Order: sequence, then structure tokens, then C-alpha cells
Amino acid sequence: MIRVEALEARVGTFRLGPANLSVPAGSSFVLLGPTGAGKTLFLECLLGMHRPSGGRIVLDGVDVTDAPPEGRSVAYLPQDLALFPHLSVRDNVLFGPSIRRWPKERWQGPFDALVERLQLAPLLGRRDVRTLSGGERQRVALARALVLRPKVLFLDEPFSSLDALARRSLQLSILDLQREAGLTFFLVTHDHEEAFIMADAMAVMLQGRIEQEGPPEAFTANPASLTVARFLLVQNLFPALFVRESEGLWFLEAGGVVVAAKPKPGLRPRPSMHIGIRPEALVVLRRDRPLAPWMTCNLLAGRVERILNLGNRRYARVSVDGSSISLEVAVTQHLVQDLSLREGDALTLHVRPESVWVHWENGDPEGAP
Amino acid sequence: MLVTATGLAVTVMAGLLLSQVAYAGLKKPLASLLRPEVFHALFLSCILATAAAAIALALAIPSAYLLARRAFPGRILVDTLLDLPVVLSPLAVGFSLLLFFRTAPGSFIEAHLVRFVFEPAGIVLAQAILAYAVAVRVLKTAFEEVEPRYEQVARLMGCTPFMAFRKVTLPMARPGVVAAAVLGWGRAVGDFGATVMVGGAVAGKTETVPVAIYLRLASVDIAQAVGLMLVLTAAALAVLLLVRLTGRAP
Repeated sequence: MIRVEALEARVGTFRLGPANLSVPAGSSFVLLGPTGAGKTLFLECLLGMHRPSGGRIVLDGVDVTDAPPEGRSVAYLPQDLALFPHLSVRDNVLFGPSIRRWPKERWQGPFDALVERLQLAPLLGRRDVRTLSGGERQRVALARALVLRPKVLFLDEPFSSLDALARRSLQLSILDLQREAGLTFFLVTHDHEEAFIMADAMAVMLQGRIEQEGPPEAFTANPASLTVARFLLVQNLFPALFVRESEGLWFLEAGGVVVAAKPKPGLRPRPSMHIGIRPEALVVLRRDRPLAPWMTCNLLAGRVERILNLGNRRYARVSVDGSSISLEVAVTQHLVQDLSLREGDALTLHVRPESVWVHWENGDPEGAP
Repeated sequence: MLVTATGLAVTVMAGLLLSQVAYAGLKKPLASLLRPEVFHALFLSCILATAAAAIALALAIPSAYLLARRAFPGRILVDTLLDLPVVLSPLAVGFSLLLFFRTAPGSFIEAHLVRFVFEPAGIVLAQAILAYAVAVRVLKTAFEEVEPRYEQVARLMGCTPFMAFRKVTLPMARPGVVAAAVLGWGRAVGDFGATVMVGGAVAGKTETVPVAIYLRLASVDIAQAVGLMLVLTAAALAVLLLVRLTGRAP
């Protein structure tokens, strides 16, 4: 559906690309990256708002690299939504059909369906879109974008201005809509959580380059580079020294503790490497229960430094005994209460070797798989 | 301090208005407005200023949009050049126009296309230049306040660049457009210097209200001069009030 080949663009001293990307039809694709990574510039190239300095953009089999925005059959939901303040809610939704001079029979069907699906009926009579709430504005903007039945809907951080409840509700509602209609979504965001909720497939963009592309699971389980890992695995990422290899496992020493890891196929060991462990991959072992048979390594004794309460989730920060490292462990409220977990408590953690991500420094050709 | 300063300024302005009436009363000046030559001056001023403001606005809209939206080499220079009539004395603008019509291209225009010097067309041209400079300033700010994102969204919904401007940017900048039109008209209708330089002071032909005031003062007809000043003051107040009501007082 969307194919980007060696796309390059410049704004001042910032260089985007060369970027390659492929988005299948009917998928919800997310481009994730920090602020200033070049996501919006990339999006503007896809939308025809910024002329690329090189490469090709193919939409639905048609080369649109030099096509103007109005010749691309795509819709766009910007961060600020850009509802037209001089038009009523109804006129906003019907702006596209009116510009294209569509006969009523052409837009009435999709219009009615969207009004029902997005519960817009009570809003249609509103003359001033500035009186709408954040969620209502989102729904109106979405209807305005979708009434033209575009091939692709591009969304640029469209949920950032909403409160957490409205954001989650709208994210799920948009996903339902996307799946029901088989639409192709291309969403740009800096929010990790949003990316993983919305993505069938995703890509990470850092400093103007697409560093990794694939299914969402691959990003947390197996970041393609140390740069991607630094962006995604911010908590438990440590430099490590290769110690030995035994029965397909690598043993690496990080800050004084030896951790077993199962490296991805083709990766060759180097003396100096990095390991990463997702907080969700660490298990707090109960003192009163026997160890499972597979728990033969990576038993890490430590002490709770702090319990971090992030509102809707909690992390225990645990300093590992005999080492200089501290690990962040995802814990539930239930677990905290069940174990009467408090700061200073001793506990044991376990992580499967398959869940320990291991990589070399970026740009080390010897380590390349 | 704030109230005192503002109160002083308001007193001075009100004093200026009242002094006109106090000097000549109201009866004579208002009666003089019914005289045909005064009525002609009023009518001529309105027609010429409206034509000048319309021409100025038609040219200022694309210029202001260009300056607000596009980056091009020499933009600052163009921007500064367009500001000149705001800073220059209207007399200097009018005199420059007269000099232009003494040059070869100016003489050709005068001889073969339209006669401007000492003609109503010349007054429209002079006033349009003054009004244009004011209108560009107001419109540029108005267009800058409309985020380009709105046009981009409109383009993706099928608008050509011109349609996006007409359907989205222009309506969103409407208060600015109204303000530019009104202030441009106000600048034109109140002008004396450029008008008298290009149009002369030909009674019954190029005699606008400010020129008529000057001529009445020259012939010591104070009652008529005050009557005309009252009309001009009323027009200025109406213009400024309209700008504030449209929500964009510069």
C-alpha cells in the first residue's frame, strides 16, 4: 500500500533518510520516535507538504513522489486537528465532499455511518467547533478525514492533548474503526505505550533514520541496535563483558553480576557488549514456593531500594547483591500487598536467558550477525 | 498614574472635538453641509476613497499572503519597501507620483492610457498607495496568525492552493481583512498631502473633503471648514469603532 524507497529530505541542517519503509494495505502502522527524530518531516513528505530531495514514494502502486497533496487520495489528522473555526461541525465534516462537488448520494452513506459510529448526531448542529470538548473535536476531525473514504489515514500524534481516559477510549475506538473498514492507518507518535497499543507493525525513527521495522513484539524482545534499545529499554540496559559460552548460552558480567543470555542466531560474541532486560521479564520469586525446574540460572538476590508508583502501574527498583547494578521490576499492586513488599526488603529475582537481550556497540562490524 | 495619563489623553481628544463646535457653533456648520459644493466634496471623497481602498485591498491581499507564507531571497527588503508609504509624508508620496508622470513611462501612460495628474484617477492612485501600505501591514499579521496546517489539511481534502486560501485562510483571517479595508479607507478619505499633490485643488473636480477644508480655511470660511471637519471626524470615529467591533484593533 505504502512503499518508501530511499527517501531523503532536508530542513536546514537536519537530514532525513535515506529511509525505506513498507506498509501493507489494511494495517495499522506506527512510526515511533523521540521529539526531533524527523517523524513529522517524514510524514510531510508522504503527504506532499514537503518535497523530498531524493527517493520515491509509492501509494497504492502509484508513484506520488511529486504529486501535490490534493492528488494523493489520503487523509490527515494533525496533532492540533485543524478543525476549521469558521465552519459549523456539519460543514467541517462535509468540507471534503463540498470541495470535490460530490453529489449527495455519494457522501450521504459514509456520512451517516460515521455520524452513527462516532456518535456525532448531537454535535452536528453546533455552529462553533471551538465549543467542543477535546474528545468531541477528535471525533469530528476523524469523521471529516474519513468521509472521503481515503486509501490511507495519516495521524500525527492526534491523542496527545487528551486526558488518559479519553485517550485510551478513542485509541480503541479508532482501532475498531480501522479493523472494521479495513483502512490503512499510518500513525506517528513519540509515546511508546500508544505505539504498542495501536500498531500491527511499526518502525522506530531516530535522528532521521529508520532504525528498525517489524512487528511490535520484535522491538521489546529484540531491538535491532543499541540505539533502539536505548530508546525502548530505558530502565535495565547495562554494559557487559563476555565471560564464556556454554550449552548455547552466553554468560556476561555486568557490574559484578554474571547473567546468562541466549543470543539471537548469528550473533558473535565480543569482549565488550550490552545486555538489556525488560522490567516485565523479571519475576519476583516467592520465598515460600519451590523453584521451577527451568530456574537453573539468573537467580538474582537483591534488596528493594524503592517502590515507584506511576499511578496505573508500579516498579520495584532492586539493587542486586554483590554488584553495582539496580534493576527495575514491574510489580502489581497485588504482589506488593501479598509479599508485604517494602523498601529495604530482601528478595530474589529471576529472568529467563531468552529474555536477556544482548548486543554489541553500534558500528562494530565484527559483531554484526 | 495609569488613570491620570489616560484621562489626560481622553480630555485632550474630547477638547479637540469640542473646540470645533465651541468656535463656530453647530447650526452654521451643519447648515453649510447642505450646500452643493460641500455635498460634492463629500460624495467625491467617499467614491474615490472607496475605489482606492478596493484597489489597495485587491493588491494587498496577495502581497501580504506572499510575505506571510513564503520565504524568498530579499523578502526583508520587499517588506521594508512596502512599508515606505506608512513612514513617508503623504506629500512626498504625492510628489514622487508627480515626478513619475514626468518620466518617459509616466508620460506614455498619461498620453495613451489614463490621465492621472490633476484628475480624480490620480487621487485614487495616490490614495491607493497610502491605503495599500496600511492594508499590507494588517493583512500580513492576520495571515501569519492562521496556522499553515489548516491549508495543508484543506489541500489533502481536495483543495488547490488557491481554493485552500479562499475557503480556509481568507475566511479565518476575515477580521483582519475587514480591518485592513476599513483602515485603508480611513487613510484614503483623510489624506490631504498626496491628494493635493497629484489631484491639485480643482474646485468641483478634485476637491475632496480635506482639500475643501483647506480651501475654506484659506478663504476664511470657518463655518464651512468646521462643518467639513465634523463630517471627517464622524467618519474617522465610525471607521475606528468598526475596526474595534470586528475585533482587530491594530
